[in-house]
Amino acid sequence: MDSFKSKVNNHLSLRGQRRLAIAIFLILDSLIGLRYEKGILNLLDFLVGNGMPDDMVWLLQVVISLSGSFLIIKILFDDVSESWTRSICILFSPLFLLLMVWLTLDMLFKGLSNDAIITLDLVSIGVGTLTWSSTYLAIAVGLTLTYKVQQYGNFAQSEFFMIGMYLSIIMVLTDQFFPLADAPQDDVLVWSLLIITIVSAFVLTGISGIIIDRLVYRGFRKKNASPQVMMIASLGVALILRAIVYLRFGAGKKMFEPDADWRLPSLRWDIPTAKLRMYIGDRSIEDGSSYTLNSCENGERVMVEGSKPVFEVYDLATNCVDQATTGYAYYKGAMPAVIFSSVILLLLLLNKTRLGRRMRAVADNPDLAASSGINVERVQMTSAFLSAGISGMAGAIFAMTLRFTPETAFTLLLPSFAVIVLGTIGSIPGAIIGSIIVGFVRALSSPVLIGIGQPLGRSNYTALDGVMPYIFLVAILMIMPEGIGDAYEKWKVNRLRKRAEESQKPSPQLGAGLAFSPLGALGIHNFQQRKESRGQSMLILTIGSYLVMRLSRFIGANSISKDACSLGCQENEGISNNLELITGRSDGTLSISDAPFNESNIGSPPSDVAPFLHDSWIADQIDYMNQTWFDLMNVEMSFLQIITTVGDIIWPAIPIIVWLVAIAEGVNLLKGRDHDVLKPIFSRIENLSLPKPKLNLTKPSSFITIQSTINSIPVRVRVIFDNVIIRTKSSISSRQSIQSLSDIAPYGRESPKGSWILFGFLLSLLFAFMVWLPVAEQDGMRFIKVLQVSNVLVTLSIFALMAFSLNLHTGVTGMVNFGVIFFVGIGSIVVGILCAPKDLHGYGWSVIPATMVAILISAAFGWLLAYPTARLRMDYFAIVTISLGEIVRVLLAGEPLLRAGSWGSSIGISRYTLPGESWWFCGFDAPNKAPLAGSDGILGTSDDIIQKMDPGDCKDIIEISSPANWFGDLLSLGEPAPYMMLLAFIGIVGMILVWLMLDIILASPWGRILRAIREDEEVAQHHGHDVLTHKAASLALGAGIAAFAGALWAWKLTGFQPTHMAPARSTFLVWAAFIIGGKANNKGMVIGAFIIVLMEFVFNVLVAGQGSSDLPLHTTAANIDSLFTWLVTESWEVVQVFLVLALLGWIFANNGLKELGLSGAMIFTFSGLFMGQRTIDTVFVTGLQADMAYVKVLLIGCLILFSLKYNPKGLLPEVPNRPERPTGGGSIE
Amino acid sequence: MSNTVLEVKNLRKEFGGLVAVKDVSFSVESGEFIGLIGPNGCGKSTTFNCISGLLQQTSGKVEIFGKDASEMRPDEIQNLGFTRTFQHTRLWREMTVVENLLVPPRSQFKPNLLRALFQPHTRDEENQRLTRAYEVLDQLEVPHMAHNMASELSGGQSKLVDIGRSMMGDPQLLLLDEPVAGVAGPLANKIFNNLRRLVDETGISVLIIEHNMDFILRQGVDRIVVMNEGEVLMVGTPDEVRSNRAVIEAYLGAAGDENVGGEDE
Repeated sequence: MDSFKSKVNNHLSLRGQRRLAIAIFLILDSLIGLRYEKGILNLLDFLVGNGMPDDMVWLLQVVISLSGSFLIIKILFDDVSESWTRSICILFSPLFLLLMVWLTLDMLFKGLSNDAIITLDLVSIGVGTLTWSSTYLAIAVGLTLTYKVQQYGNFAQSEFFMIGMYLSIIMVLTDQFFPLADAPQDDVLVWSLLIITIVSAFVLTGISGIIIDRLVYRGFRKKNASPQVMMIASLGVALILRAIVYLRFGAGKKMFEPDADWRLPSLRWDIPTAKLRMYIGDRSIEDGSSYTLNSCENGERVMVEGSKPVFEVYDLATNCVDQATTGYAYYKGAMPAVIFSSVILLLLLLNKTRLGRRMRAVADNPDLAASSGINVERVQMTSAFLSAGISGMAGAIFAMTLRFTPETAFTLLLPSFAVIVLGTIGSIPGAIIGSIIVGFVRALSSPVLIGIGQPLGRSNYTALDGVMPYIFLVAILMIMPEGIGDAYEKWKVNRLRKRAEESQKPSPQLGAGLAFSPLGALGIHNFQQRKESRGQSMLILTIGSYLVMRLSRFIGANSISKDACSLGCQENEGISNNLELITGRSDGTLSISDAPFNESNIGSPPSDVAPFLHDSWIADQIDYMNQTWFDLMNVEMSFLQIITTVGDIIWPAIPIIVWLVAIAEGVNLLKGRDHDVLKPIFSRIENLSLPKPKLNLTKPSSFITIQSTINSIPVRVRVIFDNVIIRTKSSISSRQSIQSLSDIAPYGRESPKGSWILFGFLLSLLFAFMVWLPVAEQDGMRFIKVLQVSNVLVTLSIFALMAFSLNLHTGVTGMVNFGVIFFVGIGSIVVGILCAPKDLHGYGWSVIPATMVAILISAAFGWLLAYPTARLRMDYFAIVTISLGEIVRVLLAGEPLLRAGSWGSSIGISRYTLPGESWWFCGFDAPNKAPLAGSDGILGTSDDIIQKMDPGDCKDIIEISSPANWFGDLLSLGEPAPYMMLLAFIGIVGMILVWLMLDIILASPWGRILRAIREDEEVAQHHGHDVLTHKAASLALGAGIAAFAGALWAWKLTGFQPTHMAPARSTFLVWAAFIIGGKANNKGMVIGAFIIVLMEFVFNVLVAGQGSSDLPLHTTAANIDSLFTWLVTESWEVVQVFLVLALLGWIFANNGLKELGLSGAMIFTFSGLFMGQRTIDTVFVTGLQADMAYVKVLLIGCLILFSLKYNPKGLLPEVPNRPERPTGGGSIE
Repeated sequence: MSNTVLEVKNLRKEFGGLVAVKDVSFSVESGEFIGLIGPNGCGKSTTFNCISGLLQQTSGKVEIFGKDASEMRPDEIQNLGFTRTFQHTRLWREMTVVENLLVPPRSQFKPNLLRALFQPHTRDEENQRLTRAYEVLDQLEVPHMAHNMASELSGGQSKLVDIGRSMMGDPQLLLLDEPVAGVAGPLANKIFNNLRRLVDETGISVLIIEHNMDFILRQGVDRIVVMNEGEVLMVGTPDEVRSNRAVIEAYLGAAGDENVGGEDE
């Protein structure tokens, strides 16, 4: 026994033993609770008189059991000393986890006397893994590149994906390709459009990446902006790009169909599969009856009695004869193929060329890199191009797989962040592995959730598979905060070190033998000789050329190229190739008469065509389409010719060459020579550098004069301009008022007084604006205006409170919190559920205790969040918090426990008890309703049912002496004042109280400590402050404030849906307020929130104004519309304007302006060339109009960028604490 | 009352396969001014980091006032009376100089929200801290910088404020990691003189890392711990060190450029 104990002590630290005991206890307790309802939680439930819903009990027990299992794995990582057993255990830990999931579910269902069947189809899981992992990888690789070189998380990465998706739509609608969209299905695929789209998506998105990098990020780079600033700038870019695409392409769902045939259900691989079916929970079968399994024996389905098996594996279809297969459509397969191969190409590019090393150098120290001769800007540009291009290309091919909106790309962004965190930020191999793992988790969780969702009464659980990447991410971060890539690097370093210690040389004879064998073409001998790099190159060349050959043959077979015969053609007897399938002739030619279009493909003629010309117009259109189609097909055929030929040449030519090289290397090995076979060739290629054309033109003197004159224009103009500016400036600064102002506040905005003065000024400005803001309706103007002002004030208080919370976390404590909505959501949901009446799934609490509890719960979550995230880097923390927000959002959609309200509402919380509503409308003592007859059915007897009136009833009665009527009279509204007024009062008072509290707290020593933690937490800790606890307290306090904001928000919305939790509608707006207002200054938060809120309302009015000319702001709306129309339809005029801008930029030597002009001209040239009338007609069906909601988003994005760039500290910057020397004469003891 | 402030016993620290500190033992008595010297990469800073709790040693023990501090967090070690500085000065840059000095004082705060809310300043205490901060600034001769942001200071001024900040925590042992690197000669001498005076007057101990041997030998430290390649080469008075053959070899072997007074950050 003692020896066992000492053994344990040797391998497991004391902390580990303690933790292990806790983990085992948790697991056992929850399993017992699930199976026999005798766990601690059940006891707790009993103590509160069965007040907890059963669902909640078992759900928590499931969560606890799984967390316990995770804890065991964490112990393995943290507390077990290194040994072989540990490594093997770690390798098997995923299996352990799966087993625990199964065990927990089994216990759960047994406890509930319920059963569930989970069917896992190996192929569909594999295929799902491929699909999801390639999608995530496409964005993750872009993110990784940006991280590698510029070291910030790019929130706009998914927007490049989006650009790629919409480029594909543009390509389909170009004059070149448009007939394909309407062509009928003919069983033959068209490839040229697809391939051209992919290539052009890569190039064009890459270029847009460069444009954005130069216009936006370069400015920040030059100022040495922190990664945090870059991250937020990218958020602004993301908002802008998305708004532009929404404006131009609408919110309608689109899909990229290079050819209608891609959608044919027959075009797919039928892959033989094996299925695993698991019976969970109650497996018993009633006596006498039997159950038919899916397995087959001797050609018959197996029947069982007594009980079903735990699991069965089968690979035959239901008829017990055919092999079970799973279909995999070609268009779905295209995506992983393109993305994985391009990522591998990228990896090669980075590993085998100097680019990768340069990128690392630039990432490490741009200045040093520049001084050692690296063109830093070019490296930045290359990385911007590659990262955008690869995402764009992926977007184009992704567009083929499902109907998308501009929002679709964004939903992929967060899982992609999960991928790069999992694979260690900055490591591309890590990202690949991470994406496969995350893709697998998602693909696996989908059938499991489907299987268990229905029997648990949670049919919406299928939606939860989207949340799995986040849960997985958070769990992984706890176990290994550095991610997989880091573990891989460590392993590599260790191996190299061991190798170096071994110092034994590999045998040259074996190497030569390997080189001479066919394995030499795979570069095996180089691996044996430890020349991994060369070996990899050979391996990739050989395998790559094989894959290219297979691909080109596949393309050839499914197209109209010569002699190709696809499945459709094989099924038709008497037809020998695809071409024949289209033409119906066997002479191997295509003529214009084979074109498929007729009148049904042509719409009715436009109104400016005279009726008698209609027929000829239609005929012209058909001819035009047919001709275009015919040209297209001719191009297609020659294109395919090239592809198939290339494929045939590459295989086997390249492997043979590689093998020859290998044989030469083998000979060298045998002879003991140590020189590189390929060196002479490489050196010759390098010497081949193109001779630079030397232009020896002697310029005529007149030319030189003209040139110098032109060059001097900018200088001269600038001198005049500068003079004007200097004079204006000096005349302004000599004014007395400015002088006296700087006397009052010597540090300007950054002194307490200056800050207050500016705050007062801005606040009154915004207040005046709010009062001026017109209302849409004309009737009952006063009432609507009061409603509007109250609405603005409520929203202001909500957003200001959220901004306070964000400011405390991010501005003061320095934890970049992108999960404001997480805490806000907890507040809204808890208040909603606690307050909802019992018959509507609620608990019927009154408002104040419910709000208190919500704040406490949220604060508890905040406090607990600090511990697992304590060691995480700033950006990891950001990703964890934003993931938490998403987890709650998806849970709100899928988990019935988080629902309350009317029975009709299937999702979210639809009814809130509003604080003080009854008092507001009915006064303190609500009058009674007209009595209803009681059980005796007679009115006027003692058992009459007498109910108090509810607010809805009181509203109609003017006579009641209620605050609403009192205010209504006071403001002569003619009706009771709206409830919003009371809410505005509550909100503003709450906001001011919280503000006061925060100001007091932040002025205390604690505030000082938090700021020290923000600046450098390690140093703060070395100066004796328990950083972790301080952070936890800060998180908890901010979380509580956010929860209060959430409660207010829910009351204002009178319901809370998952859509409200979308980051773009909440967190990002709060961030905008935070950036505009000024970090670490609560006055700034109020101003920032006010600006954002007012923008919302202005655009509400504008939307109304678009509709009718009677309404206010109609002219403004009309102006925006006409500007938009001009931008969309008159591309060439826009190009001219931008060129003028560029010219001005050149004259005034303003590089930014010049580049803006040139980029704008480029973009609109593209739009003029490729986005013709057809794109306008398909998008703007009801007429060309700007969607104001997105104009607003565009504006917010621009505000974020401008604020960051020109006013990085915000409108009201932090006011540093500058205490004077105490005058009391130092009462120091 | 000569009792042991710090005792390092057989300290060893590995990074992966790299052994940064092999086997280091030494002790610091109260009221002592000790130098820790050695060529670049000999493990001085790693030893420091293990003492101050930034790194967890692989094996060995760190005892503070006889208590085992091997598994303590940096803040717990500071609360026992140890304050350290970093080789690269790390002030809280977006805070004013005087605020920088106001953060360290212990006992001013436990993370107690209620106290922050209801006794925000506790006037007298805050005034005492403030008076003390200005006294320290006076001593360092930078009181005019009190209201500047820390990021506006020059390199030398930052070093001064850093030392001042460490003194604000009323340490029993001051761990200084190359406090005068990058500081001009006269000022460096002055800093050392001040430290010497501090040790003599208040009885605290100072452990100072310096890799310029000539310089530290002239500064009147009590004892010197010489490290080389992760091990303690010798411990002795400056005179003993000066005449020790092994030390001279270690230094001449690795340090042709060591005697350039104070290298840049």
